[in-house]
Amino acid sequence: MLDLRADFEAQALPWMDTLYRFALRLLSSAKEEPADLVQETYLRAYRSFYQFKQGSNCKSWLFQIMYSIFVNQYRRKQKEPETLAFHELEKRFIASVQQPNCFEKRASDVERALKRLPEEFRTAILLVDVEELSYEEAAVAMNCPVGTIRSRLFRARKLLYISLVEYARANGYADKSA
Amino acid sequence: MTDPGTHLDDELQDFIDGRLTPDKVTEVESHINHCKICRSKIDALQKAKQAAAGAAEIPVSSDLRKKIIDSLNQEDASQKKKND
Repeated sequence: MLDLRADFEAQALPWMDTLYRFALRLLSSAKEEPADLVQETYLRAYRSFYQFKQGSNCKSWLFQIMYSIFVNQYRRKQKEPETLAFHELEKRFIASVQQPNCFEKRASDVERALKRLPEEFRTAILLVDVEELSYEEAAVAMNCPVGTIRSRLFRARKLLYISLVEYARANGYADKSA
Repeated sequence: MTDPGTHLDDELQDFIDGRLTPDKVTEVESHINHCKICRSKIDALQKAKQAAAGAAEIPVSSDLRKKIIDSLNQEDASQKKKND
C-alpha cells in the first residue's frame, strides 16, 4: 500500500494547482466550492489508481474523473447561461471580426467571458486552450467523440471573441471608431 | 479546391490548430490570401485562443493540500481496518 500511495502522490499531486484552476472555472456558481471538487477527485482517483495504466497521461485521467464527478453531482444545480442559436452566433462573430481594433484581452474580462460560456463549450476551451490537452485527450476527459470537442471548441472561441469585443465596446476602452 | 466565392469555416480552426494535411494548408493559405473575411476570422480565432491560453495561474491554498493529504490518510486507515 505504501508503494501505491507514494506512486499516486508522485504522479497525481503535482496536478493539484491545475485541477483547482479547472474546478474554479468549471463551477459557474460561486456557492459551489472548487476545493471540494478537487478533494473528491483525488479520493476517487486514489481508490481506482490500481486501474490507472502506468505510462499513460495522469493529467487527462484526473480531468476525466473530475469532469465525471462534475456532471453527476454539480451540473444539474448550475444555472447555465443561454447559448446563441447557430445563425445568431455566426452573425455576431462576423460583425465582431470586422471590428478588430475593439478586441481587448484584459485578464478580468477573459475570466468573466469564460464563466459565461455554456458549460460544454467552456469545458472544451478550458481543456484544450487553457490546460493544453490535445483534442483526443479532451475527448477522453469529456467522454465524447473528438469531432464533438472540435465543434464545441470552435463555438467557444467564437463566443469568447464576441464577448471580449462586445465588452470592450460597452465599457468604452476599445476604439469605437474602428 | 476551395471555391473562391465561399467563405471557409471549420477549416480555419483546423488551420490554426495545425490539424490540416499539407495540401489542405496550401488550399487555406491560397484562399485567405484573397479573402479578407476569412483572414479576419483566422485572426479572431487566434486571438480568442491566445486570450484563453493566457488565463491567469491560480495557486492552491495550503489548506487544500492538507485536506487532500488528510483524506488520503483516512482512506489508507479505513482500508487497513478492512484488511485487518
